[in-house]
Amino acid sequence: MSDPIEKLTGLGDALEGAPMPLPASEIRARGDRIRRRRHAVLAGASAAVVAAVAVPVMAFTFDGDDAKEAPPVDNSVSDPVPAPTSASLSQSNLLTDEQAIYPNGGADWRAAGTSEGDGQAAASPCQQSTMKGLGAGTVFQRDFEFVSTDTGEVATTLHFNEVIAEFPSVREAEAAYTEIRGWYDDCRPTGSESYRAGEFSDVPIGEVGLVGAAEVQVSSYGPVDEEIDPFGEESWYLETGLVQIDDRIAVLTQLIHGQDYNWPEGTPVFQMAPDAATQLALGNEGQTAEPTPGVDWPTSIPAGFPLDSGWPEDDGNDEYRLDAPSADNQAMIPAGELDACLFSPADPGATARLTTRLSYATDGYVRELQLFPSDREATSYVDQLRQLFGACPTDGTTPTFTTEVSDGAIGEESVVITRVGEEIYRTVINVVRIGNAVVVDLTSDEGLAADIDSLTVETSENLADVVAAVNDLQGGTPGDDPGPDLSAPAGTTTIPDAFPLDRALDEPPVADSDTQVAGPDGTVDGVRPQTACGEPLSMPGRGDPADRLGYSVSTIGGYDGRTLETYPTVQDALDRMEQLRAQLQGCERDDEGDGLSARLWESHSSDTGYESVTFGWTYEATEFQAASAGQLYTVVRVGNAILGLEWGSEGSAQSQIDLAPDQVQLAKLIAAEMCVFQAAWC
Amino acid sequence: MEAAEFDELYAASFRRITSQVYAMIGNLDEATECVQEAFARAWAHRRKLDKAEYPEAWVRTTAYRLAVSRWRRTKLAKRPTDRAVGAATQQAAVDESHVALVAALRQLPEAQRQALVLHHIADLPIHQIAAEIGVPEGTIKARLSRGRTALAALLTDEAPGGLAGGMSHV
Repeated sequence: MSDPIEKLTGLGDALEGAPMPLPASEIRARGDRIRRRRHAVLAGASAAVVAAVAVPVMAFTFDGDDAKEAPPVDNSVSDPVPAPTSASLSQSNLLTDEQAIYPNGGADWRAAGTSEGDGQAAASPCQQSTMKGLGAGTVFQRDFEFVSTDTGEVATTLHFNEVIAEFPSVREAEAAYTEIRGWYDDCRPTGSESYRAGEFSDVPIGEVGLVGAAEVQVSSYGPVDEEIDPFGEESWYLETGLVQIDDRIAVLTQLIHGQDYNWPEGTPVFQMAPDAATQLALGNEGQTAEPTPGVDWPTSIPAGFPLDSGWPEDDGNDEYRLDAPSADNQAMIPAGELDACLFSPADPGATARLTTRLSYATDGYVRELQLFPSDREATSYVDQLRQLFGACPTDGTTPTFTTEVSDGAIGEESVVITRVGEEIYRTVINVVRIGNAVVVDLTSDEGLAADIDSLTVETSENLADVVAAVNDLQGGTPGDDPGPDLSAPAGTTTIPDAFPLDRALDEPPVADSDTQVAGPDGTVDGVRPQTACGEPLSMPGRGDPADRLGYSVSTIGGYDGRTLETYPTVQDALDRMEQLRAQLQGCERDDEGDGLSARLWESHSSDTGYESVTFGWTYEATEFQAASAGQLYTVVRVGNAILGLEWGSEGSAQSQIDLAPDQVQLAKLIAAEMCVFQAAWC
Repeated sequence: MEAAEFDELYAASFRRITSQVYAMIGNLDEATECVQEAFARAWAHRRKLDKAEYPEAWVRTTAYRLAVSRWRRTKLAKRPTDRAVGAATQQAAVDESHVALVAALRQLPEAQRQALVLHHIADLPIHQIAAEIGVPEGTIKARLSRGRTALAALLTDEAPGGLAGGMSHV
């Protein structure tokens, strides 16, 4: 027998000398995309004021040799995102003369020339490669000149240009965007003695209505040439705007000199970037996500839709003023209720709308339900709001509001936007999309800013009935729409191989001598059979489903069992949920435990955003049953699939009450992956 | 962490970490993808990485968690190509004896396998393994002892490409 340790040590060298599968730059690009997706709020750049130093003007030459040294584009990775099929990039995608502004008054940027391809001179003193060198197919550049609107004089020492480029794929555009972004970290303009790079900050481009990214950054360097600044009081201020819309990129470069760069209303490029995004998107609509095919989206909101459910009820107080749900109520966007940093979302083009408002003392409530032609437009609206608020970390003066944007766990996708004042004033905006419907729920009060979390939880819970009603709407129960046949064979009955039934709220468990982990696998028993008041409960784990997946974790401390089952039709799943509710109704205690004491059954709040029930039993405390124990269940239906969760452990009825929200949260997490079983799909 | 530092860390430790994760999970493609994804996350969280005493350990732990999570749920199903940094990548062939060793490792309980890999392949001292996994040093020693015994029983000189444990090579 050989020495196993020797073999083990040798295994460490097994891959030595093997080629690196991906270059580090690709890994970093991926990391940067992860950061961007996390909507990291970057510090604002507008206040980047750096002490002035002296002299030479930037050498703007970009010769051919530099272009040849541009980093090669790695094409070794296949790109799953197809190239666009829409109109090609053209000069019309550049900023127009009117859109190029210098918002200081007395001066303006005027279009001076447009060319195809990368220019002979670098568009920016930090440019390290041509767009072609980054893999772009079509490139255009427009140069602008700085004109005094009073005298008509042109200042030749100030520069502004825009370069736009189209790449073979979205992925390559993303990679190029990341590459360009990196130029400004370690830039050293020719002739400069000092260089300070500001942080990139997001720019709201919601009005474009497409998924994309826009950021601006201000760098300063010096010295400024003595002919321009004989007293050495100025710096160069390089403001760069980067915009990516699908497979296209725009780079805006403004270079001016001065003693400071203060723009309280927003820097010039910051103000031009949304227009640049709008221009860039022209003719590229084919790049947006396609609507889910084969779905008859609801087109009308039924009368009596409970949009104001979950709000305080009228207690006769004079300060209670409710505008009942109606399409005649002013929409939230024109009412300015969704403004952020002076920007309003663009009209998202809903086909049906219902809006309601409640004012109660100092508390304000607004809700709006909108239906869109398909889930594509609904998703676009959610993205627009996410971007708009994500680009506005602070807003207003006295008090200043701080905004945070995070993903929610309601519906098929949701965004939670919190805005707080310096000490008091809280606002929570929940944006929830289910199919082609988007609910925007806004609640504000004068509570303590530090206690924003409680308002977040409260507003989420208050939405339960609305979300359930929207789910019903998507399920096809509007009054004038017969909707889909729930008894028809379901679209998906096979559980995807990679279904994350083992999703964890915290760190996933690791099997060891004390912890047995089984599954996820079709052969694993997750939720174990259970009876209540003599009735075998209608939960996953019983019967003959179309498909089943089980997962369990057993430890000394307890049992975590999960079973996901699919049924041939949505109606089958609905029937099982109905049966379960009927079985639980009226069953408060039974004697089917260990015989020492009765089991007490309790229902808990089950705010998963889907049809669900959360319930459990614990032993009745008696002189024979000192050590309490019990089992807690959440059963949630999404389309034709039902997920069952079982937690068994020692604990009292109170500890089960405390545990229930965690189990509901876990059910939410997993249920969010069950959209494949919905008619609207994911 | 600056780009140059990151690139250096990546170049110096990618293969090492991949071989360690491969030894732990037994699937080289999966190990490669997970290590790439872990490095991408490391770059995305580079400020956190700056504070980590052992950046390589941070990447390895992240890759291992990714791998374990994926491995449990994929069941060798074909995965969409966007799950990690890139599409499937060309891998170096692994020596047959290494395949056999990895197959033997996979027969060990996960905790023993992890201890063996970290100690004998990653060359970490016991106290560092205990810190990385979050268990007492005595537990690590016990796992190493049991793991070595079990591994020795699974490997034979006569079957360099195969497994012991009752297999006949007549």
